[in-house]
Amino acid sequence: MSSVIKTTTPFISKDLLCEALDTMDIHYTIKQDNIITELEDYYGLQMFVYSPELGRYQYQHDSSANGRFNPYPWGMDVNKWGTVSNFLQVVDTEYQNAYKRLEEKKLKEEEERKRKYIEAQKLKIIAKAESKGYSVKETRQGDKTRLVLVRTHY
Amino acid sequence: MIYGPGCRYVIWLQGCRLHCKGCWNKSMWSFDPNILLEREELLRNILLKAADGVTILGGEPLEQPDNLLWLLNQLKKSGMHIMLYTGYEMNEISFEKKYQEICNMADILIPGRYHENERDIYLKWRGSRNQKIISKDDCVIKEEDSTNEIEIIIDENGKLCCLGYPDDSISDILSYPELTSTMKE
Repeated sequence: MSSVIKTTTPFISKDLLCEALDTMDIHYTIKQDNIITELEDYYGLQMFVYSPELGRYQYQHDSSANGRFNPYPWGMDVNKWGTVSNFLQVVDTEYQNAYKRLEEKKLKEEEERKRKYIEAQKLKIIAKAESKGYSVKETRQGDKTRLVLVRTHY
Repeated sequence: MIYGPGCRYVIWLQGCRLHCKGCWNKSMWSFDPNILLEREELLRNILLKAADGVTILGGEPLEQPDNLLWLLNQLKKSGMHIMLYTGYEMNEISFEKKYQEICNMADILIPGRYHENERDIYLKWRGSRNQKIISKDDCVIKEEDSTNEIEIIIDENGKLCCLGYPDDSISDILSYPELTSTMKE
């Protein structure tokens, strides 16, 4: 029988991981590079531990909390997700959502920077052209700006 | 406005063997393909734009006589106003039947080499004084040659394209050393 093994998205970014947990309303504290959640199992608080060798976070938890006992008998507050796997699936989704939001934000910032640059460039050209005696007419053609410079010689 | 009356669809045809001294469009001398377009596709694009007319320049438009003749025939059927630039002189055109046929289809024809020593940026639609405007509609050439027109297009990424007959002050206006050096070649 063939098997299908899926992993979660590698949690590389602390900021994105924290944003994902915020979205899920999970409280946590950060100690050095580790993100310690409020979720508790037999061995204590579960946490995302950063592994410099792997370059990503790994979730540290009691292996029995991953579906072997359902419900988990040692007071772990994972009822909402049932198992650690399910919990990590939700973290995965929210991590990807946070990544998309970041991309959109960066893209928007980049677009805004470009828009400001082009506007400044246009104003500079108009000012210089006028100082050289040209009259300038500006029109838009889709995404493009069209400047017609006219100087009459008498 | 820069290349003819009204709002125009402008086509630069790649390739020119005339090599006028002081030409500002040296990048269009090569016969290596630049943007390859099926003529049918070009025609469709032109008709979609609903411009007042089509202006064809280059390079040297008469270097692609068969395709140009086909295109002008199609445009004429659609009642399109045609303006054509060529570096060939009228006597040279008269020796070549196909050239003649093409030039006869133009509503406005601007023939003749660009002469650097006759350069005048205040001429209407042309770069040097020896070049004439031959028009089927006399009224368009009655306007005086006294205006210098330049068109600057800033694209969505801030890239500049300058068209027309600029003098040296344009380099200062554009503040674009790399563009300026291309133009001064």
